[in-house]
Amino acid sequence: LVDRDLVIAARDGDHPAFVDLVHACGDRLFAVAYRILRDVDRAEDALQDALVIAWRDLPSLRDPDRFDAWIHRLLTHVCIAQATRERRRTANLRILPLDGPTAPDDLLGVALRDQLERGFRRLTPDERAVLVLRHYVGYTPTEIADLLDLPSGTVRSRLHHAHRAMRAALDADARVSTTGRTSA
Amino acid sequence: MTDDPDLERVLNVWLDGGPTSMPDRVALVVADRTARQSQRPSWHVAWRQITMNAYAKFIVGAAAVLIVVAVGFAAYTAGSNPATVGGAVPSATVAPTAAPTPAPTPGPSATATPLADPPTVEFVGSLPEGWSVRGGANWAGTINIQLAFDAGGETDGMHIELLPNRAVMAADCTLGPQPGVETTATAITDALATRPGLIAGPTTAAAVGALAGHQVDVRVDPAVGTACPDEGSGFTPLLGYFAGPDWLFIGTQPDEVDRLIALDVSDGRNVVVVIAAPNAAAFDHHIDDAMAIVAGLVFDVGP
Repeated sequence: LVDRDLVIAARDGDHPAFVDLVHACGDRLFAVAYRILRDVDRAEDALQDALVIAWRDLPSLRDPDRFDAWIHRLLTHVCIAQATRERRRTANLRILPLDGPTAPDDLLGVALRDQLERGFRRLTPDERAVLVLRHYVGYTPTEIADLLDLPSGTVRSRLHHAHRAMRAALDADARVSTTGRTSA
Repeated sequence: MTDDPDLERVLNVWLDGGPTSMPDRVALVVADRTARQSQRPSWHVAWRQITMNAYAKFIVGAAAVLIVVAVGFAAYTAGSNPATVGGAVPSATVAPTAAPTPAPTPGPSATATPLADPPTVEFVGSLPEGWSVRGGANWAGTINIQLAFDAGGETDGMHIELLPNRAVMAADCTLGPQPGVETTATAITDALATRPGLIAGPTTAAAVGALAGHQVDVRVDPAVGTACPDEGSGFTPLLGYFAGPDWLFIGTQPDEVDRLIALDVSDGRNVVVVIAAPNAAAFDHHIDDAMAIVAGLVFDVGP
């Protein structure tokens, strides 16, 4: 959790405090953005946008103790919006090796990770988000529902569909798609 | 959470992999952008959450009616011309001229390999409010300049892409360039202006930096079905390049409006500036800003 005083200072317009806040929570938020978007550049873009919006709208945060949930909500919405925009771009892109370290590789084979990547990219942005919030951030479905302003049943439904799709991807033979088609 | 503990374990392990550190440049960019942006007063954000009861709605509605009546009366007594009030909304600047069907022209294909030495691009000047530069070569060799994210806003998705060394993609969605179309600016804009499925405005001369070429505005003709059955209704391919081993290309979707400014570099090399808007309203609203940005581009094309 970030420093409450830092949140209050940033909320009250203290720009250096906001920059400190960015450093304090940036790693965690970047990790979430990357996992939803599966691309370092796009995660950077989304995080930048979310943080700029956060600075702009921080005065609306009445309870500084809710900052963590508030910023996660903001980031998730930005990521979903960005993924929705970009989905057309990457839907059929050839899967390239991931950027950055992938530490627990020993536990998952390359082929398995590839299948997971393919399955994940086929999910809708909303499903990606709930999957990451559930399995990476560790929120419960109820907390995700609260975070995203969705009925709990909707979150559970998205999770269920995402799990089923990921299981299907794992069970499927590797498929290779080699074209990139995007929209201007 | 799932009834598949194996899947749960796999997902947890898989998602644990990947980068966990925010690149330093993100904090620098955010610090810079926010230093130039003031915070929104809390009431500005919170007002939408206020729910009004029926009585309050009546009061607000009545007040609005009184204001409208008062303004109308004042305008009437001042002799203003009511015809100027609430004028027509300007339409998209793309001229709605139907594109003729091009005759197939046999000839040599556009080059199938990347052209050497794509020019580097610099932007000189200041960006209008709301625009920001996104990463350098952040996708397929493009440089993006786009509006900062505006949640749910009309401008969402408006962007400028700089595409070096592009070829016109085949109209039938096969992965390759359109046969017979060279990579000069004239050839590119002429081919796209007459592409089946597109409505194009007039092709006009253009100059950006020290480069000259032609420009054309295009949008999908809703009356024509897609040539790309895998891409959904109305998707029409535009420009691509060979990224080895595959062609990567952009297309346009229904509702989008794109201004394509093709510029000759030399020896068949080109740069295509794409101003892409998600819809006609966004295009009309921001095209002047976008063109001002484009006017500030400088290309270093080397010797």
